[in-house]
Amino acid sequence: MTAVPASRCPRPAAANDTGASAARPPTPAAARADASGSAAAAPSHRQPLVEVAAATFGYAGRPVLRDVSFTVEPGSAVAVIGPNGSGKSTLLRALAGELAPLAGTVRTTHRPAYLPQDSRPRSDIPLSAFDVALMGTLARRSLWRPPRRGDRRAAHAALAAVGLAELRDAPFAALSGGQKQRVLLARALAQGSPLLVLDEPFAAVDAAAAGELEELLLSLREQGHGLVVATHDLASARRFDRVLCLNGRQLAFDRPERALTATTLAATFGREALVIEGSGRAVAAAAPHRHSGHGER
Amino acid sequence: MLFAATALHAQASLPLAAQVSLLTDPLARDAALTAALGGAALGALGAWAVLWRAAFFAHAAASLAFPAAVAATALGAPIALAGAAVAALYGAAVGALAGSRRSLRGGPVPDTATALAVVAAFALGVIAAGILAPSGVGLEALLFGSVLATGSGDRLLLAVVALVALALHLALRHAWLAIAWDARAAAALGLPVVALRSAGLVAIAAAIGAVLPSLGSLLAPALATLPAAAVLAVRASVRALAPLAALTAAASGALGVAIAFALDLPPGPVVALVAVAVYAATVALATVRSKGGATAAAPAHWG
Repeated sequence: MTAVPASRCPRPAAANDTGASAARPPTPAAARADASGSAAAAPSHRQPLVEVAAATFGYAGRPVLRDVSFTVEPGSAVAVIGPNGSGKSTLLRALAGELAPLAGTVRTTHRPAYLPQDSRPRSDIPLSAFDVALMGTLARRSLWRPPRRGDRRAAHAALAAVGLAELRDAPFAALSGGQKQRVLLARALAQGSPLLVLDEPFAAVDAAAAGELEELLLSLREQGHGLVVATHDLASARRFDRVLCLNGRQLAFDRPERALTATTLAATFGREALVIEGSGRAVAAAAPHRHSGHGER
Repeated sequence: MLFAATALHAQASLPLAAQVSLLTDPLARDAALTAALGGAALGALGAWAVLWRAAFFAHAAASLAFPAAVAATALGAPIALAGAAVAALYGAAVGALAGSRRSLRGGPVPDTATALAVVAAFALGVIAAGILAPSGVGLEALLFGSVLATGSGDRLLLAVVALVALALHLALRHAWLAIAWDARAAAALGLPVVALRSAGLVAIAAAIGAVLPSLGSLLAPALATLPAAAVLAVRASVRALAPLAALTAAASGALGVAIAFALDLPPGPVVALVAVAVYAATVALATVRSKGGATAAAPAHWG
């Protein structure tokens, strides 16, 4: 693993440069082998996919998030919580390589599959669910090379992984909000990265769909993916391995039962939080979050 | 004939006989071939202008090529080269400006700036033509082209532009589609969105400028955008959009020339009206299908 600024995170080698790798489903192990080009260069199973050390992030030299240090290991899920403007999306952009840290280091073994919050798919361009999933393979092949059989297999496998194999030919615009999120997740999986960085994937879906999506994400964790997920759903965050609390700086990074305490939540959400002590648990209700999620244009 | 300023005058003086068959009259056949080649070249790239919501950009590129063509005509310089160069520069500038965060999120090329470019360029071109009139600048030919006065060199140029357009489409269609569908997500995939979109805009503008001597600054953008918009209106698959747009544009060009010969009308405006009619017909068809409850055609897989 090499220390590089976040903006210079290396793009993984094309997964389909060789015939052998072309047919692989988008599993983390396959992605690691693809990205390194050889099994020997692949990181060990427990080597962190992400290491952030004493990092400060901001725009135009002005810090908006300070003192961030955490790691993400394969097969682990980190929930990032905090109020609006706390720096969640800034941190995720940095992990995705779109933003260099102002100070400190961000180390990643692979370019993550990144699902930004401000994504705006167009509904007036007739694409199928499969078309969208196939777009993910653009991240690992040359721009001018058309998708090959292995890319299509990866897209099929990704759709199957999110439970939408039967809707592969359905127009994306005709899908429900939850299904759209699943297709976008399939596109991320088709990139073949072992690290998924998702900015509020539950934002534009109803409670039932959010629950299904959460189960899906946790199943991906069981398959060895590393997950970094920004969320406002504290109940969901409790099911992650680690919780990263942000509000202009890092307030906690620990297991949910240790991070989601009344004290930490009050410090994280401030006046937006309603903290209720009972049955040994603290519950916080953040103020309504205004965002557009993955709406369409 | 390709670069000769005097060729621009030929259209007005040519006799147009009614009821002449495209198959028997060499003049009609060559004119139809010119319009079809130009349509094919512009239709393939114009599909991307439509998908990127940059149809207005195509008109602005043609407008900016107009004063360049006037000046080139007066100076005896290559009109196609001058038009393509100026239009390409405009495409590069717009592509760079489109790298702003707003545009990255999918916003169209700023309309106000584009409108200013159109108005200013046309005004400049007309003034230049007035000043340079003694040197033989023909406004009608520069606006609607001179398909009747083109030679084999012009058609060769159009064929080359069509082949380059096809090659660019085949090479970059997947990345260009990802940008059109969701530019922000395309950037998250690691695609160089600004560079890719700039390359597309430069290609569209340069193609329009290159065909200007044959098709004119009003007809060229019409053939670039209307056929693609017509195909998209009936919700054809994205995979087939550019090829179908090229075919539709080529057919509109040939049909327009045939109608012009049959009715003894100027070919350029007739070709433009045919393209408009095709678009209106497809929109009407789509509306009828929508009211009738017909579902849109299922998208074919891209690739």
